[in-house]
This record gives sequence, C-alpha cells and structure tokens, in this order.
Amino acid sequence: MAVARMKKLTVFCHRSLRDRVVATLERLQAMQILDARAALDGSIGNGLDLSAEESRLSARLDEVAYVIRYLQSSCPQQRGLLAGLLSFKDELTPEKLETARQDTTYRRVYQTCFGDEVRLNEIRARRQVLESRIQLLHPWTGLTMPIETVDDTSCTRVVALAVPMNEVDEFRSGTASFCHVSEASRDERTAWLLVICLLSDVDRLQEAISEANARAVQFGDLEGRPRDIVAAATAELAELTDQEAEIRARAMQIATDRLHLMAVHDHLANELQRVQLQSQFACTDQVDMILGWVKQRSVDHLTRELSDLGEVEVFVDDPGPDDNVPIELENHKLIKPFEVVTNLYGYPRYNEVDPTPLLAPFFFVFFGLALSDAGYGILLLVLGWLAIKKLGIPVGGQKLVKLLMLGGLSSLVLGAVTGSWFGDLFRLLPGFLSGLAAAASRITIVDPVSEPITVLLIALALGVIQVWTGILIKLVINLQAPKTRLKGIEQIGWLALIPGVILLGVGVGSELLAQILTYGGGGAVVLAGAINQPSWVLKPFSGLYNLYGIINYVGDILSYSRLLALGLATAVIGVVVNQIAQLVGAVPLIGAVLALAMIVGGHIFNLLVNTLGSFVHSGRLQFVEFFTKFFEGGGRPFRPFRWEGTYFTLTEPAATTDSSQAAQRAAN
Amino acid sequence: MAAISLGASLAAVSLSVLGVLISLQMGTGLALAILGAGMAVMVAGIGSSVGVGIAGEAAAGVTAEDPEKFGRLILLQALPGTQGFYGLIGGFLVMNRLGFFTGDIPTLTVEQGAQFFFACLPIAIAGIVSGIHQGRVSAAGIGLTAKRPEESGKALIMSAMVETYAVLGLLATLLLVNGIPL
Repeated sequence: MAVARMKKLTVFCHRSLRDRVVATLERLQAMQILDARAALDGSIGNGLDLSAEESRLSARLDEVAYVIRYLQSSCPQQRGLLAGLLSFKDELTPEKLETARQDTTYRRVYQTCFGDEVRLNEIRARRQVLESRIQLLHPWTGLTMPIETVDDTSCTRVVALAVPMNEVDEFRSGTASFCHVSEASRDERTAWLLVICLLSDVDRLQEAISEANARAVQFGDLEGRPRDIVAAATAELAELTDQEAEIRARAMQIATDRLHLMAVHDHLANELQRVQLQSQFACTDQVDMILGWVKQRSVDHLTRELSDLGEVEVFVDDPGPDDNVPIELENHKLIKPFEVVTNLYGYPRYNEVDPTPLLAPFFFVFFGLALSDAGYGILLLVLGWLAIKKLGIPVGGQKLVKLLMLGGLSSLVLGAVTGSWFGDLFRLLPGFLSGLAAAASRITIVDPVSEPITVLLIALALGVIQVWTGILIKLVINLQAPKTRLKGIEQIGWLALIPGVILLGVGVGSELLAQILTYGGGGAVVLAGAINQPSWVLKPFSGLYNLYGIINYVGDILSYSRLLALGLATAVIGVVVNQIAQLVGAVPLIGAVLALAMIVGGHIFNLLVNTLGSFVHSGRLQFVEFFTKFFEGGGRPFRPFRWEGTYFTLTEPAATTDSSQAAQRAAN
Repeated sequence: MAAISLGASLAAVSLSVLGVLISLQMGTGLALAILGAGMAVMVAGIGSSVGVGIAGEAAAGVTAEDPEKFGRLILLQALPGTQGFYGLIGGFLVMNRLGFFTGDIPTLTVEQGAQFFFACLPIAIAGIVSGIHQGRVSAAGIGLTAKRPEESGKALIMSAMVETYAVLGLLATLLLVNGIPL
C-alpha cells in the first residue's frame, strides 16, 4: 500500500562479461540504468567507441522501418475494426524472435524495395509526360504531315491554333482574305485550326488571334506524324502499367513476411537500445561499472543472477536525500485499479504518501453516486469481465477496465438503493415481470428525482468527510517531521472548526460541544496564522485573516453538489429513453422492434456518456478538493531496462546468448 | 466581452418582459419564478459550454501532437463544467422552495415571482462569466501540460481558482432564495 522501496545498485563486472550482464538485465526487467559517469563526476569516462556500432544499427533500423513503411503504403494491412481502434501490440514468441534475430536477408529486401519505389516514382513522372503528350496531340491525329513541319517557312507563317467555339466563325470570316485556314478537329468547346499566312500579314493574324481569344499550340520537340506519336505513347503507357503491376505484385509477395519484418525491426531497435545503454557505463581497462535503481524486493534475485555470471560484484545502497528516486506504486489488488486515477495527476515523490488507497473509497462511492443506476452497474461489470477475457487487453490497460468494473459494482449498489434500474424500466415491463418493479421499490431508500435536496445533503456530507480527511492526512504528515509539528496547529484548528460550524448551523446535538469545537477550532486557526507572521504588530491581523480560508472550504464542499447533478442526469435521461421507447412501441406491427432498439441504443448512449462524466468528475473531485490538502506529486515513474518493441510485446522475456549475437553481426 | 454583453442583454430582455407583465397585472408570479430558475440553469450553462468548448479545442490540438496526454487533458477540459452544475443546483433550490417536488405549489404574487427571479441572477451572471474565463485558464493550462506533463496538477489548481467566484454566486443565490418570505 505504498511507494515501492528502491535501492541504488552499483554493479562491477569484468569487461568480458559486459554483453552477458546487459542481456541478464534486459531479461530480468528489474533495473533502471543511470549514467554512471555522471555519478563519478566524469572522472572515469566510457572509453567505448560505440558510435560506429550505434550508427550501423541505426542505419539498419532505418532500412527495415523504410521497408515496413513502403509495404504499408503499397499494401495496407487489414486490421479488425476494434484492433485498429485500440491498437494493441501483437505478441512475439521466443521462436519468432529467434527467427528475427537470425534474419540476414532484410538488407536485400530493403534494396529491392528501395529500387522499386524509385522506379515507381519514375513511372509516375513518365506517365504524366506521356499523358499530357497524348492530350496535346489528340486533336491533330488527322494531320498526315509530320508535326515538326508545322513551322514557319521562308515566306509564310504556319501556326496551329486552339480557337473557342463561339469565336470560330468570326475568326474564319475575319481572316479569310489573307489566311488559309483548315480545320483539324473540333469538340464542344474548341476548334483546332491550322492557319497559313504570308509573313507580311503576321500582325493582322496576331490581331485576329487575340480578338478571338485563341491561343497558339506549341508542339515542342516532337517529331513524326501525330497519329504515330500518340500510338507510341499509348503503347509505352501500357508497358508502364505492366511494370507497375509487376512491382506491386512483388510488394505483395514481400508483404506476406510483414510480421517477420516487424519483428526484425523491434529486434534491431532493442539491439540499438542495448548499445546506447552501454554508453552510460563507466569503464576502465578491465572493469565496467553500471549504476541504477532496483526495487528492494528484486535486489536479492538480481544479485544472485548477476553473480552467477562470473566476476561480477554488486553493491547495494539506500537512496540519498537529494536523489530523484523513481516511483513504482505497490498496492493490494483491489486498490490497484485506482492507480489509474493517481497516474492521471502524476506520481508521488519518493517520501510522500501514496494517495491511491486514500482516494480509493471516495472514488468508489462518488462514481457510484454519479452513475447511480443498478442496470448500468451490471452492464459495466459484465462488459468489463468480457473485455478482459475476450479482448486480450494488455496488463496496463486492464487496470482501467477493472476500475470501471469496481465503479459498476458501486453503481449497482447505489442504483439499487435509489431505485434506478435502467431508469424506470421496470415500471414499463409487461405484467409477468412487474414483480421486479415491486422488488426494486422495496430496496429503494431514497429517490433522487423526488427528493433531490436529501441526496444533495448526502453529497455535501460526503464532501465534508473527504475534505476533513484530507486535512487530517496533512496533520499526520506534519506531525511526523519535527520541523513541521508546529504547523499541525492549523490543521487541528480546521478539524475542529468545520464540524463545529456545521453542528451550530444544523442545530443538532449538544450546543455546548458545537460551541467548544467552533471557538476552539477558530482560535487554533487564528493562532496558527499569528505564528506564521513575523511582525508583532501584524500578528492579530494575520491570525484573523487566516480564518478567511473558510471560504475555500465552503467552495470545496459545495463542489460535491455535482454528484447529485450527475446522478440525476443519468436517472432523467434513462427515464426519457424509456418514455420514448414506450411512445415508439405504440406503432403498429413493428412497434415492439422499434421500442427494443430504442431501449438498447438509448441506454447504451446514456451508459457511455454518464460513465465518462462520472469518471472525470469523480477524479476531478479527488484532484482539486482532496489532493490539494496534502499531496504534492512530481515524481517520475520507474522505467526498468527491458525489451520494448514498437510492434510487439514479448510473451516471455528474451533469453539470449552472445553466440547468436556474434553470428548476427558477422552476417551483417 | 461578447459573453458579458450576451448576459447583459438576456437580463435586459427579462427585465423588460417583467415590466410589461407587471403593468398587465396578469398574476405571473409563478412564471417569473420559473423564468428565474430557468435562467440560472441556462445562463450558467452557457458559461460552462463556452468554457469547456474553448478548453476542448486546445485539448484537441495537443492530443493531435501527443495522444498519450489525453487523460490529463480531459480532466482539465472538464473543470469549467462546474458552473453548469451550480446553475442547476440554483434552479433546484428555487424549485424546491416552490414545492415542485412535493406537488404543493403556492400562488405567487408578481412581486414574489420577481424576488425569485432576482435571487437567481447571482449564479447566472457569475456562472457565465467565470465559466468562460475558467475555460480560457483551462486552455492555457492545457498548453502548460503539453510542454510539462508532470506539472498538470498546477494547471488544475490555476483553473480551479476561477471557480471560487461561481461558488460565491451560488452561495448568494442560496441565501437569497432561502430568505424570500412566502
């Protein structure tokens, strides 16, 4: 129920054992590696020239990543809808990993794919040229002369024109006196004309051209009859299409090995990680020093495994006061799902209290109160159980599902108590099931729709309890360190003042007790404020000003009124869904089907929207009203050195021997 | 600024309606009280909608760059939603006082109806203004979380500070509504 205790480990090994030590650490997933050289203030460096190895692996990794990207763009992977949405990593068995390790062909695959992609780009560019050429010459296929003859002679201008259809007649009549015009072809918008005139009449022709909004067609360097050029281009296009198909087929063939290539990618990425890790070792001629954090409970096992390798010595130290110790939370398995809430805010520091078991009961109750529907609670339990069993969610994601299941349990209990089962569905059920409605109303204690003020007071009371608990926790924390003991006076003050004021306001119980609490608590708060003020003149004012904090507490407590609002929202939407279903059910013939669809769809919508709202607001209450009383946070998580893949997780930790590594390196 | 003018124009419209009705002496006390309760919910709801919307736009941008941060961002986005809840509570208080939940609704004079109407204004106006501004602080906090994810707690606190004034508005409404003599 706490932050896991950590130890600082220093491992010394003979440099010949370096690879085996690294492999063991990777397999055990127990140690977060620190920079050993920095710890020695740089007096002993690394001396390893890893940059060559690093760049080699980096380049290989880029090659495999390129191939995977290329395959993804030419033959996209078909994934199931759910798998695509949730993007889980597939699992990699040790056999497949070994196959990936032994792979030596991927470099050739890379070269093939690289060449193919270059060729594809060339084809694309060439295709564009050919298509525009065909488009250019298409109107002129009727021309029997080679296209390069459409050019000026010594006395005449010969020009090909594209003339808009609505100007053609005018153009022809305008130029008839000094030009010879013949038409090559026309379509709905343009007429394609071949015009010849004497060089002396070029200006008149130019005028006529611009008046008709015509443009001259340029044929560039093309040679040969238009019909022949078009035929040649079409033939080349067909050939290009064939080549493209061939490349695509080759890509599909390579894609059958896609998973294997992904495994190679992950394998190379981890090889690179291992090499980069070694740059954090401090090394002399013969000895390597490795520094890192290990959980206290893993220390013995790790030490034994490392010592078994040979000349390895392990020294264990406690964390120093200035160390930024990484955090891992350890909690009972019923509390563990609530770590999802803590992680949203951040991790505690090493010497702080783990807030997870503290917030767990409050979050549990608030979620139930905000969702407060027994039917939805059952749905959450069932769906959560199915999700874990059938969907194969990795362990990290399971915490959230389990949290929702616990929330569902709370919602079931509180929903039963408030008489909310899928809204008021039981009221609508046909005769033989109406017994359910009677049974449900027997266990109903309070109905929030008819008695909202009662439920509001319950929510506010829960708020008082949580705020009071937060102050209490702060008091306990303050009392533990001698320096902060005096600050405990303020907490004691509030702990007495808040209940005192409430008792006075409500007028219940002994008035004397309420007065003692109020004035005593108030006095303690004033005293605490005065103690903190250095100037004697200002002390009474600071003290009284400290009482202003009551506004903050009032605000905090009022914030809990949202639990009523959320619970009501769920209930009311449920009732409305049922009412619509009832209306729709009156439709003849298909009424029953429509009503059923409405009920299923409407309640699922209500479940989704209000589960999200309940989760977010229950969490928000913890962070803003509870954590602010005692929790600082800012810790960073414990990330031990382990095999990590982009595409895969390992089914069992990888066990390697350095012989396979050496073979791999020789082959590459 | 647009929000304040929106709230002010809503108040102005309501007041002019009030004036007309008083002069017509149509005994619309209950209608006025309901208008007040409705305004508390509506106007504070506008504040929350705009605030949460502004924060949501910022959150979408950050999530596009780094989907891992989504959980923290949703929390920051939800913070300006408080004003809507407080408006609803304010409305509830009026409904409770008017006996809507027990079915025992008294006849109200126009003056009494107007009293309920005015009593709802604190949470309505404080709700809309603080909701919108809290949305802007949340959006800034989302930017803070994007650059320094471990400090999202501080962003949370900054945003929650704006809520204080909505609380004061709700308190004022609560005291006023409970103090109206029926």
